[in-house]
Amino acid sequence: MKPIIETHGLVQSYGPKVVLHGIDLSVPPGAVGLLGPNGAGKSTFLRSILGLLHVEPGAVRVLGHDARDEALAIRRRVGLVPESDCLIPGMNAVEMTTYAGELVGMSHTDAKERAHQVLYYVGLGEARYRELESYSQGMKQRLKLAQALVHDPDLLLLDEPTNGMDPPGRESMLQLIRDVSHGQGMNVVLSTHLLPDVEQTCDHVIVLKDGRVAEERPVERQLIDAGRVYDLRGRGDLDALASMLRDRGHEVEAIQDGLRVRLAEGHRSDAIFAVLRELGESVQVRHFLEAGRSLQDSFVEAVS
Amino acid sequence: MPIYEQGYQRWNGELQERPLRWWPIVRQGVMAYLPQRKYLLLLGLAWIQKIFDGVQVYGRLKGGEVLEGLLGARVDAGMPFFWASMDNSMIWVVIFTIMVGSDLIAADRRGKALQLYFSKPITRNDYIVGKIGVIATFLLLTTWLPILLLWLFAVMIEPTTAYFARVWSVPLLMTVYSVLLVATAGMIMLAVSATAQRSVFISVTWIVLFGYGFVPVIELVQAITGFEAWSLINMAGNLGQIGAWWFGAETGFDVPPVLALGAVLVGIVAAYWWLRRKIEPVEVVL
Amino acid sequence: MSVPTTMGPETPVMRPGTAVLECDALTRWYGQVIGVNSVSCTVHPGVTGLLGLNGAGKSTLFKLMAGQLKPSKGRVLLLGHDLAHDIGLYRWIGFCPEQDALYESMTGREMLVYLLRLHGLSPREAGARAEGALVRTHLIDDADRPVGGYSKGMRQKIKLAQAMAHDPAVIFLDEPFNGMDPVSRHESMALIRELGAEGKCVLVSSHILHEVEQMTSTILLIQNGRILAEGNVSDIRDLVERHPHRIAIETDDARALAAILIGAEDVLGVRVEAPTRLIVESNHPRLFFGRLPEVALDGGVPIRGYVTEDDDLKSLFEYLVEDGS
Repeated sequence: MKPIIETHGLVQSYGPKVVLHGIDLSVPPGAVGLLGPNGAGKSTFLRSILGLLHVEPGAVRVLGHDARDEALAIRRRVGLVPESDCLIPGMNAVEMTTYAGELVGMSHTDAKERAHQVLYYVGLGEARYRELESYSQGMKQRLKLAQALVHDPDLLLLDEPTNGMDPPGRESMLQLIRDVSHGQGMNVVLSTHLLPDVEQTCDHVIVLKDGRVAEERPVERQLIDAGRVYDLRGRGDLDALASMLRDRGHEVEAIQDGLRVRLAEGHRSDAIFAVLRELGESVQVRHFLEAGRSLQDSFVEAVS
Repeated sequence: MPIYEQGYQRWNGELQERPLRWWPIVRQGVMAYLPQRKYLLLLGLAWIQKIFDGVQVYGRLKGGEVLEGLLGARVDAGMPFFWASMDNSMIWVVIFTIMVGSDLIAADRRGKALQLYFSKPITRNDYIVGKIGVIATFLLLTTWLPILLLWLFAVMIEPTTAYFARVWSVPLLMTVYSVLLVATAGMIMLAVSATAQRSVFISVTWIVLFGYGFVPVIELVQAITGFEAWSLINMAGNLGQIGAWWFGAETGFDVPPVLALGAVLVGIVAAYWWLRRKIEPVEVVL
Repeated sequence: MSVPTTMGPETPVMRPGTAVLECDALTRWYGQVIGVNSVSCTVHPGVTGLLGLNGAGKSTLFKLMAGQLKPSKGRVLLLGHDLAHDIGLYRWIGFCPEQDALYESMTGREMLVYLLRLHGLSPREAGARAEGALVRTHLIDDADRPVGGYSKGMRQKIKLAQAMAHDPAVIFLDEPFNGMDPVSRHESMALIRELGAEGKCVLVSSHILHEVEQMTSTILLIQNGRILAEGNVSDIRDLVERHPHRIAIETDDARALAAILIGAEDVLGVRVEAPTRLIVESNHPRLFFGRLPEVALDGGVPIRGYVTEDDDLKSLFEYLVEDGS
């Protein structure tokens, strides 16, 4: 599959300070999470993708267009949901979304029709004529999404899209993102510090550190050692469980709310069930699954 | 299909080929102000002034001998007359540039809207042209347009070749002059609006830069050197000098017109350079 | 117990189990709008999560408890003393606000020392405590750079540091990890757990529920200006009977396993989501998980693993809020 973003040896400096030290990336289509500590170069990378910085040396191609020569063509097909509030004072949601569409090159009527459609989609249908100053944080985030979607981009860039939203709002926003990327084939790059958001919406993850790619991996849990290592979580007498397992020769280490068990040679998960049967109702294991390398683990390893 | 897809729908429309990328910016900017009563009122007043000029034109062209007899001097509706009309409009230039221009970029900066603009397929120059276009609309509506109509009126009521021969160049010169005027007033205003945050500071700074230069310095330098070199900073004065030069009128300003023109062009370029610096490092993402 | 209001080298440590912060019929009006409606609750030492929808009264309650707002009615009691009547009590409160209002030109260290001096500490004592706080928040390497040059994550850390440097008894943290990268979040969560273990009352107001549940099992949930739930997450969960526990089981033959499981009383329902994935609903988790190993070993259908899908704070929050509205 053709990558949506390709960079070869991308270097960016601000004056004497080098921010990106030669990034080689091939971002696959679908939903990608972009992670990294503050100062790792995420924002510089995104600006390069949008064609807002001089690209040299190195090459950047986005959706098939060269970022050096075809920056405007790129921005016609990309939508950005910025992190900070971006309000144009004196407008309501319909006006602002229409304006956003016109700035991309849509005719006024096309932009207006599409604005209404998109505002309903993001859940602002009823509030779309209200003054922006009266909007809650969640509504502002949705509006930012609407103005990014109005021209039906092929690539959506999002920066901390759930900022300041309460739990139902966050859930709804993440579902919207998942819906456009998996339901409709739009590509998504999500830059955030919240790993669960990435787990919920993305298929692939890129970790930047100090201007370099520190790690690239799929989001799915990578099993540590299939069939050999299990994570158990639950309540009750976990200490008794741990010591019984150790007595039978298995390695046990403590994790949050539970245990990680490495089975002795030749044993399968039945060995654990057998111990659990003996303990009966004194232990309630509510989660029992093969241990995997979580995104958190990957991230910590990548940046240290 | 009995049940229609309610989720996200893709858009199959076409983006306009080579649109005027800055046009939505001009339109949005103008429509933000124009419907407001105070703007309509001021526009009305500006036009009333021009209507008075229209009456003057009529009087001068049709009742020349009578007035001559009364005042003892020849009155005319030649090039200097049209220039005077423009000169009298300067008050509107100041008023509208300040009212329309001072918050133009400052509001975008306060609302962090610049990142929105630059994530769209417009260049920084498009943005600048669009914003100047907003100021230009109001300035041209109160200077260039009514004066052109005034000229048409004059030529219509005095359709003699002699008269036409004297005033034929008015539309051309007035257009070029208006462009110069808008560029100067507008570019400097945008540069200041992109630098400061509060309208009060912006307005005052613009007035100082455009209208009066550094007055105390001018006096001082004048007193010392006798040559009003520092007057070159006074853009309004420079523009006045240029206009007088092109339209054959007198001014009290002492700067050689060619130098004035040079100073104005330098002013425009300097303001543009400063403005570009201010909007260049826009953080798209934090 | 009288509350010392001057600074000394020894701050009394709260013994676990001693109620430290009490709200007594707190009400706060904003004109006609009622922000908090006759709220009474007790916050014990340790970490407590304050949860609620935007607009539910969460930030109002938070500020009332921290003494940043005056109640229209009712009182806030810190160690039995009314917050409104004793300004000296503020010595025992640490507050990490959501907003960003820092002294940009000072270095991190200077800022902390300055704030500590305002609390009445001697220069030497202030310096030592500032150093301690900077180490604990992992800011020691950047301590001597101006705050204006800090990244978002570092700014958040300095806010944390100033909330704890003076060794308060109660610490209020409003979205404390905003802008921090995953590693810093992880470190800061550990720090907060430590502060709770030291016997301090740490109140964390946050929308990021999966992080709250990593720091504590005690929550305070506010809805429509009133307390909707208070206490231990598991206990609360067990009370929400309308939503039985949902367990997703990976197995070789979901249908066969379903047939085996449905026979018992502890299973309310089964759903075959895929040939290898079965969803079970149960209102008796103790019984169900008690007999599941037996089924795994003797049932004849291998079980690869299982997860209780709604065992997290996020699901609990959803259930409570949707039922409570």
